[in-house]
Amino acid sequence: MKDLLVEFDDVPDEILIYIFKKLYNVEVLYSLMDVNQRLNRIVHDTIFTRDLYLLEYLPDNKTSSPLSDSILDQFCSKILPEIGHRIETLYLEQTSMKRILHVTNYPNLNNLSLFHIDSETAMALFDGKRFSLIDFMVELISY
Amino acid sequence: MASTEADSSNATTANTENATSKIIKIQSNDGQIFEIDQGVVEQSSTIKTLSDLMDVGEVPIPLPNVKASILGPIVEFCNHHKNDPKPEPLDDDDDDDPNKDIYEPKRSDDIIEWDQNFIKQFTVAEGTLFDIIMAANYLGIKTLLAVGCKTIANMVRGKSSSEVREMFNISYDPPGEGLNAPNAIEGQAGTVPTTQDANATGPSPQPDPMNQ
Repeated sequence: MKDLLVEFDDVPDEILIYIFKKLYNVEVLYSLMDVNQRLNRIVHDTIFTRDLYLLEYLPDNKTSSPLSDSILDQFCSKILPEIGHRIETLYLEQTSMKRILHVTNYPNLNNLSLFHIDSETAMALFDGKRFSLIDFMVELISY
Repeated sequence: MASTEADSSNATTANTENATSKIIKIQSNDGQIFEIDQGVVEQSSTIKTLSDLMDVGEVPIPLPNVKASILGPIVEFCNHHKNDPKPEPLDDDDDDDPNKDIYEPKRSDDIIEWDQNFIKQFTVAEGTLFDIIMAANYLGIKTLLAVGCKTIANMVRGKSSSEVREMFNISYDPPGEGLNAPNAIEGQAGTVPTTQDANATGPSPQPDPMNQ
């Protein structure tokens, strides 16, 4: 009996947000942006777009790896151009950081952290440069 | 004859036992009555509030938002968990912490085996998974709400938007229709992003429902 079924549309926003907060922001945006207008509105909220850790968490939830190609493509082609102006904090890793930083503007970016970057790349990118970030962190690869 | 210390102690023990074994009745919206003890009551903030406010006696507490087919399993869940140690309060609302996404591991892989088997009886296809989640929310049973929501999160993780749409039978309403129609957007108040760069570009700001 259809009238007894609780469907997705019946679930209030507060519960959907509670569910989505069990996921990392990168997971929320990848899976839920553009599902429909309602979810699009929810995932555009700053709680999901303000801070982005653009690495993929491994099952132990402690270590990370670069985003897979399909996810990175989706972020660069669709997601980041749409939400770039909402992002205040970015955590990037070496293999994808150039592409991500070039794909759109980040006018409200205040905090940038770079992980798994070798010292040569860091020198080439940042030596002699100026940034007006509030917080800038580089984690170098140790050999 | 003066009462002895042993008599006082026995009276205190009896009172304690009466409190924990106190039975109250709850009634689903389709008329079924369930008997629950205080250990179950304590897990539901809604039932606890209602039982405190009402002089219930033999009268069942009505729960108009929950049907018997959902309330029965909820009682079973609470009976199973009534001797659990009280969990530490979680500060899930600390959205101001800019490092929350990295320093707060998002755990949805920590559902214990009994709870995993319990939640399997509810499915998206039958609508019962969202039923149990909304009932847990209405009854204020945080542990059950967490189990249900983590289950949904695990289903979503790694899926594309089209796969999510299919999994939850969600209709696709393309941009440009409904709320996103040009004449609907015009005149809507929206958040204007602050910018340090006058040449900064970005899409038109969406109304931010959380800040309205």
